[in-house]
Amino acid sequence: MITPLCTLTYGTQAKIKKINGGLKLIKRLNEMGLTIGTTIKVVSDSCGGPVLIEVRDSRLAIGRGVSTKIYVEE
Amino acid sequence: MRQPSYTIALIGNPNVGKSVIFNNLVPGARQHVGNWPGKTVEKKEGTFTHYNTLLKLVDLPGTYSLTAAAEDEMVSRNYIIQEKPDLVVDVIDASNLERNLYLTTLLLELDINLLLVLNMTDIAEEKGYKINVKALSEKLGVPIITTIATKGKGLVELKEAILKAAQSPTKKRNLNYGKKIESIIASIVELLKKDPEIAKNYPLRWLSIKALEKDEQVLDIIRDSPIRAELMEGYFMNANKVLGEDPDIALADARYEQINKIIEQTLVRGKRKWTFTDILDKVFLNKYIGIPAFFALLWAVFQFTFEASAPFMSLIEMFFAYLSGLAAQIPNEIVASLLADGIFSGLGFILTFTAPIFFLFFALSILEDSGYLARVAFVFDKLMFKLGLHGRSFIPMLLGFGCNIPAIMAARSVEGKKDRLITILTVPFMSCAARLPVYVLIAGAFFPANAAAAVWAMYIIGIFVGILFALLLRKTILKGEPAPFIIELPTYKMPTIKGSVIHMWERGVSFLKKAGTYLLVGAVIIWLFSVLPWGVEPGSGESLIGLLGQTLQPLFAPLGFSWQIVSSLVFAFLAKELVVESLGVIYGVAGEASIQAALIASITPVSAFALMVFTLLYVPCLATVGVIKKETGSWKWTLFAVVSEIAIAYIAALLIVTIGGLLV
Repeated sequence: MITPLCTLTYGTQAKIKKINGGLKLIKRLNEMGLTIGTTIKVVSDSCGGPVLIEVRDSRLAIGRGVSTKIYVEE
Repeated sequence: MRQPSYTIALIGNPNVGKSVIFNNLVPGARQHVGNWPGKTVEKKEGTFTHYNTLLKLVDLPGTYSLTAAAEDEMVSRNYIIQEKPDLVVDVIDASNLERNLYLTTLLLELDINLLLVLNMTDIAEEKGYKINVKALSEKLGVPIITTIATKGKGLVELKEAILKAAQSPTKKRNLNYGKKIESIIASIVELLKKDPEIAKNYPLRWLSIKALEKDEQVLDIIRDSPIRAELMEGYFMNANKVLGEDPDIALADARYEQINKIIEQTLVRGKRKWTFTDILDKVFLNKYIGIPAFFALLWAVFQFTFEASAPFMSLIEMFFAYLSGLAAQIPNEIVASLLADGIFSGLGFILTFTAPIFFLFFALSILEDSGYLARVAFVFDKLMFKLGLHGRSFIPMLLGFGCNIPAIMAARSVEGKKDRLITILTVPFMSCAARLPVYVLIAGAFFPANAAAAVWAMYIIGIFVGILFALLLRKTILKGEPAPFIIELPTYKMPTIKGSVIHMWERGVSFLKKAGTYLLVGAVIIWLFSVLPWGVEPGSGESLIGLLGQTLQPLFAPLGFSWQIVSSLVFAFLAKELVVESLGVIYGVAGEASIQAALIASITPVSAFALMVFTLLYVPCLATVGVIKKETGSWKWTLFAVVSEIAIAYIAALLIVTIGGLLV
C-alpha cells in the first residue's frame, strides 16, 4: 500500500514510490539521497511533526510539509 | 608577498570536517568548527607551504550538490566553476559514503583535477564499515587519502597528496550513466561542438549534462548560440521521450546507480550496531520529552554558568576595587577621576563579568560540539511548522545566544528568501552573551534566591518573543509557505574538554578584545559625560549624563526607570555591556554589591524585571544593526528591525510593569 511518509511509525522500513512536488523539491531530495526506489527506515516519528529517517547511511530530518509529499510502500 | 603557486579548494557535504582540515593545514587558522551542518557560510582563504611551495587553500561552505538552493551553497558552486582552482579536494564523511559520493560524481562530471579525502574513518569503523580504499580510488579514477582530522591523523599524507596532485593533475574519468543517457549526452556533445565559442571554453560533457538538467547558468551560456533552437526543441524533447521521465531525475538515478555499483565492490557494511546516537536520539527527539529536555538543558547551562563563575567574579572584583583605590590617590584630580571613576569603575566592573561569559561559552560549545544543536531544529520543527515557520531557523536563533552577529550571518543557510529574512529579524531577540552581565547584576540584586532562574527566564522570553514576532511577520508582510525543511542530523560526538576550552577561549578572547577597545572607549565617553561640565558632582543630575537621562526619563516613567537607568540604556545602543558600565560610572562605586544596593534604592523589583526584559529585547548593539544592513542589503529592513525592536521592548516592559503592578 502506498502511503505518505508522514504516516509511518518508528522502525518501519519502506521504499520511496513517488514524490509529489515540483522539480525543485525533487532535485533537492535527490541530492540528499532520496530518489524513487530508495529504501528508508524511520528512526523517529513525532506525530504531526518532522520524521527522522535513515537513508543511504545518513540521518535526515524531514519536515512535515515535505513528508506529506513523499509516498512510500512498506 | 610571494604569489601562491597553486590554489586548492576544499569542498564537500556540510559537516564533514572541511574546516577542521583547513584549520589543521593553514597555520594559525581559526575557522569556526562545531557539530552541525552549515557553519561555514562564506568562503575562507588561507595559505600554507609544503616543500617550499606556497599553496592557497580555500574552505568552501558545505553543499550537497552543484545546483545551489541556499545562498551559502551558491558560493561553493560559483567558486569551483568560475574561479577554476588548480585542485579540488572533495572531503567525504567515510561513515556516510553513499550519499557523500553523490557530490563526488557531480565533481567528476566537471572534468576537474580532483582529490578525495575520506575523513572520519574512526566513525566509519565504529559503524562496522570496511572500505577498500585502493579499489575505490581505482573505480573513481581519483587519488584518495584517509584522515581523522579531529585527531590530526593523516594530515601529513594529505599535504603530500595535495602538492603531488596540484603538480601533476589527473583527469581520467570513467563514469558511465548507462546506454540511454550516455547516447543522449554524446549526441548533445556533438551538437555543441558546432559552436566553436562554446567548444573552446567549457567541458562539453558537463555542459551537456547541465543543459539536460536545465541549469539556469548553463542555459544562459547557450542562449546566444546558433545551436540553441535545435538543442531546445529537437534534443530536449527527444531526451524526455527516450528517458520517459525528466532528465534531472533520470540523471540523479543514474548517478546513484553508478555509486551503488562502486560501493558494492568497495564497501563492506558490518552488522548495524545499536549506537550511542540511537540511544540519545530516542530521548532527545522524543515527541513528549524533546521540548522539555531542551529547556532543562538550557536551565542546566545557566545554573552551571552561575555557580561556576561566582568565585571568579569576586576575585576580579576585588582586584579592580584595589586598583580603583590606588588610582584615587593619584594627585592629579582629572587623571585620578578618569582612572578610578571611569576606567576601573566602568570597564573594571564589566570585566567582572568575564567569568560568567567564559563559562556560558563553555557550556554552549558543549551543546554545539556534541551534535545536539541540529536536534533542536528537529524538536521545534513541529511547533514551527504549525506556525508557518521554518525549523532550520532555530539553529541561527540558538547561535544568537553566543553572539547575534554570526547568528545573523548563519541565516544564509536558511533556504528561501522570506524564511531567511524572518530569521534575520528574529535573531536579535535571542539573548547574546553581552546581555548576560545586565541580568546577572539585576537578578543578583532583586532576586538573589532565584537568580539563575531569572536569567533562564530571559532566554526563554527571548525565544518566545522571537517566535511570536516571526509569526506576526509571516501573517502580515512576509506571507508565504515555509521552504521545505530537510536537515541532516550529525552523529553525536563526545565533546572533548580541550575542544570546548578552545571554543570558550576563542569567543571569550573576542569579548576581552571588545573590552579593550569599544568598552574602553565607551567607559571614557561615559566618564566624560558624567564629569562635564567640570566641577559638578560626578554622575549627578547636573552632569551631562544626568541632563541626558533626565530629559528622556519621562518617556520611561511608565516603566518606573530612573534617569540613571535611562541614560545607561541610551549608551547601550552601542553595546549592551554599556548598561552595566555606565551604571558603574554613574553610581561611582566599584563593586557589584554597592551598585546593587543603589539599584534597589532607585527602582522596584517589578521595574527591575521590566528592565531586564527591555535590555533583552531592544537593539542588541550597533554592530548587529550593521550586520542586518549587510545581510538584508536594505536600509528599509534595517530601520524596520531597529524600530520594531525598540517598540517591542517598550511594550513588553510596559506589560510587565502593568501586570506586575496588579500582582504585587
